[in-house]
Amino acid sequence: MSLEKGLRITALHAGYGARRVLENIDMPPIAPGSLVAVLGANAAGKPTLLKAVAGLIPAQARIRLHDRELSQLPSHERLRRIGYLPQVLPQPSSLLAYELILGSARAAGLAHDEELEKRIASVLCGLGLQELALRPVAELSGGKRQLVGLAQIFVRRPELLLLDEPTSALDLRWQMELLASLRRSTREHETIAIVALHDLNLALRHCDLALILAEGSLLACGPTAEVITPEILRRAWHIEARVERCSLGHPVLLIDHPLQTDTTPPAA
Amino acid sequence: MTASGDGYRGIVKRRFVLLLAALAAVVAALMLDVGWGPSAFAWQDVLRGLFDRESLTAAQKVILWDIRLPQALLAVLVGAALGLSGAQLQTVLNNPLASPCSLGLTAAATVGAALAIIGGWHAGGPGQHVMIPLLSFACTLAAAWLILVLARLFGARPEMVVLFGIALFFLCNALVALLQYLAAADALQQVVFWTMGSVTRASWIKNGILAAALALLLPWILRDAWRLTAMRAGEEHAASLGIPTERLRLVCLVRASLLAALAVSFAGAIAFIGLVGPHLARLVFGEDHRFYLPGSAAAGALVLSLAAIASKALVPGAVLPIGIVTALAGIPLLVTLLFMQRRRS
Repeated sequence: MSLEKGLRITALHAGYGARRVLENIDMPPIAPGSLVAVLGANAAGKPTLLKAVAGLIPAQARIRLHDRELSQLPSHERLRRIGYLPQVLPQPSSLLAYELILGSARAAGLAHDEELEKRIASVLCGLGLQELALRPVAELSGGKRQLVGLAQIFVRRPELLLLDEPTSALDLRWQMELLASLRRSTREHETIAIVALHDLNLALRHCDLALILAEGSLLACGPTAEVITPEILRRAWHIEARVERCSLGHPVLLIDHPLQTDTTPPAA
Repeated sequence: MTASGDGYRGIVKRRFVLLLAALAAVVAALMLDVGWGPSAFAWQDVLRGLFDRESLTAAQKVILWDIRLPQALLAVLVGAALGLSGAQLQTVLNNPLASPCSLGLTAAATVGAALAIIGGWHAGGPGQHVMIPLLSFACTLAAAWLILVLARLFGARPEMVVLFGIALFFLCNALVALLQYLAAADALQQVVFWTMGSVTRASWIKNGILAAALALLLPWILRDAWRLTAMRAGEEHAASLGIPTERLRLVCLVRASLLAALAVSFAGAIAFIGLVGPHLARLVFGEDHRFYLPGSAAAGALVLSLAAIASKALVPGAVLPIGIVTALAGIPLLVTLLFMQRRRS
């Protein structure tokens, strides 16, 4: 692919204070229109990778998005081009869902005009929130609050989306809807979405590429169905598992059993 | 035009009307406060005297223009300053219990006032009106500076700021106790009276300073209204929008400290207004900070103005220190507000 378009991350080191979490991450170029899954076991470094790319934690890296070197931009400049969704849900407050979305857009520098109102209405409709728009965030369920968090980002139409477990509070239907909608919109608008997920079936079904992290290193990177192999599943998750096709032809992860490790709890 | 946009515009219009109504209520309370007092002063004379000073007798001029009006205005301005201070603190510290009082700023002002009184500057003359406010203002700013320095050293996280504030509160209370222990009987009485809070120390200069501070700070604070609104989603969500959350917190701490320092140095330790004002505003205006911030100022002003009236009305012929009234009325009011907020959510 051309170096002028897409995302290129090289030599990324990141952590919290003296504790290094990610070491020397080199990713192959990611083309515009890609939906990328960041996968890995607990403590593999998924949120750290997203925060480092967003510039929310100190990191050494070369991060190039299209024609701009993001790593040289100050954090607030970088975040104008990036939509980062933290793992934590928007906290309950008496703010209305609509005004939280509007407030975030205004705080991020968007003008309050008819175009913004249309965008908000369209995003609310796409996420099934139109009936709840004028309800206080404190009255919404966890899943709906997560959708409000996503709406805050979608309204800004960033070039790069970094979503940390965006489906953690969603029901099965909305997990599918969200990933399908992300796939559509990234292709339609030529944006890039990098999504940290725990559900490998969602990644297999919807994501073009997968980055697999293990203990702070990049273990594998490539088309999702090609990198989620029994060998990778053993090394990254310590499970014996395989990917098979269901009767409709979709790839499905089947877990046989966990592998015995030093940290495996003893059998009852 | 969208359905949700139209619905929201309706809510915004209603809040705007409510804000105007709150301002009208503050003006009404102010007028009632001006007209209320132990001396026989007819309402029509008060109203006439406000517009035509020369129509009053010499005694009426003193009562209206040198006592009642400065005191009533000070109650409104101090209430607005404390309400605005508490509203910023509650948002940036993400804590509904944050207020100038709970962060130890009021206690620091008391240390300053106690030092001035025990140092002998309280006994009449210009010192009484200069040194006590000056030292209590200096001590409040020093306390705020200490919190800011510690917060910067430890990363300005909300829980750290609150912890430093609580520690400062106890430290200042211990210092006041020590000063009271060392004080002579008449100085001790003065210190105790100061801690009760009162608007009887009002003057036009103090009102002018406080009004100027509010006029300068309110537009500055309102410039951050959207960023503060976005902070209500939580620290991480706000940071993800590019909002420098730690810097915004420090700036708000500076502004809140300035307002609180001026208010308590002029009127003494007045509890609960910085806590109740924002809660009342949240209930009426929600948390869109374009309304919540001026709403907190209006709510603080209204509550303190009503407390000023109550302080004159509760015991005929006597004026209770306003701090006693706010503390007595503040607890049931706060519990009622928290109960209403809970029921609503």
